[in-house]
Amino acid sequence: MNLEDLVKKWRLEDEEARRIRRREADWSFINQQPPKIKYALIYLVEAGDRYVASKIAGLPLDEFDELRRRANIPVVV
Amino acid sequence: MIGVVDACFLIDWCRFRRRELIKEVFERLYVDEEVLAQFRSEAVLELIARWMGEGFLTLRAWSTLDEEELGRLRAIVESNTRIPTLERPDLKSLVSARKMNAALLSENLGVLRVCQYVPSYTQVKVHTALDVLALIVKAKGEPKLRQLIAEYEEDTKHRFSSRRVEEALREVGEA
Repeated sequence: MNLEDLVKKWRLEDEEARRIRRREADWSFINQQPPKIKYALIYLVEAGDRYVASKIAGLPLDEFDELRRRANIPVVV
Repeated sequence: MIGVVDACFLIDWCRFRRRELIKEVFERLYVDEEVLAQFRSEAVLELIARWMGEGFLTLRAWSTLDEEELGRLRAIVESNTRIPTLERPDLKSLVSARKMNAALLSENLGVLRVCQYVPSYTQVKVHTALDVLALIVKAKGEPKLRQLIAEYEEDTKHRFSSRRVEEALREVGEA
């Protein structure tokens, strides 16, 4: 598969994953968090990248993942 | 089989009620020290310490040749904006898996995509948790993959893509 076809496939996968994260996220929990955490969780819903989201939050990856689970944001793979 | 494990995989896998079943498939797992340095929570650290004590999980030594290969891979990833960006620990796990001819256990879409596209890395076999669950069922014959998937999704708050689940179920004869 060439890069153009792969990028199309990746885009479709990303859109489906984003829809699932947006639908299942606990927005009330997310919106109650302090700004660094709130926007890290919003980034995670949109982009799905836990590593970068943990950097935005300023937390170690595994501690941020505890918040992800409390915010009910699924990892979609 | 041996495997290299990345941070996201360990963070998720440590929550899985049947996490020890991974030993039915892998003889040993390797982890990079920069991956290890990312952990603070008790759940992950308990699993890592226990597996290391048993000799099932081992630190992989990093060499200057590995560092040169990491630089080459980073240049490829950074020169193509359509490949998702990867951070240093992820790049190190990729280099280690390639060098050791080991499976790479990862839940990182960027890692999967590098191995789908970068020619020198298409040989690296990336196993997501779903792939590992399917390998467990193939090796052990039980429990059913559907049951393992449901338990894993519940324990870790994962959602596997329905297309990939159907493929995995077909592979183990549960479709």
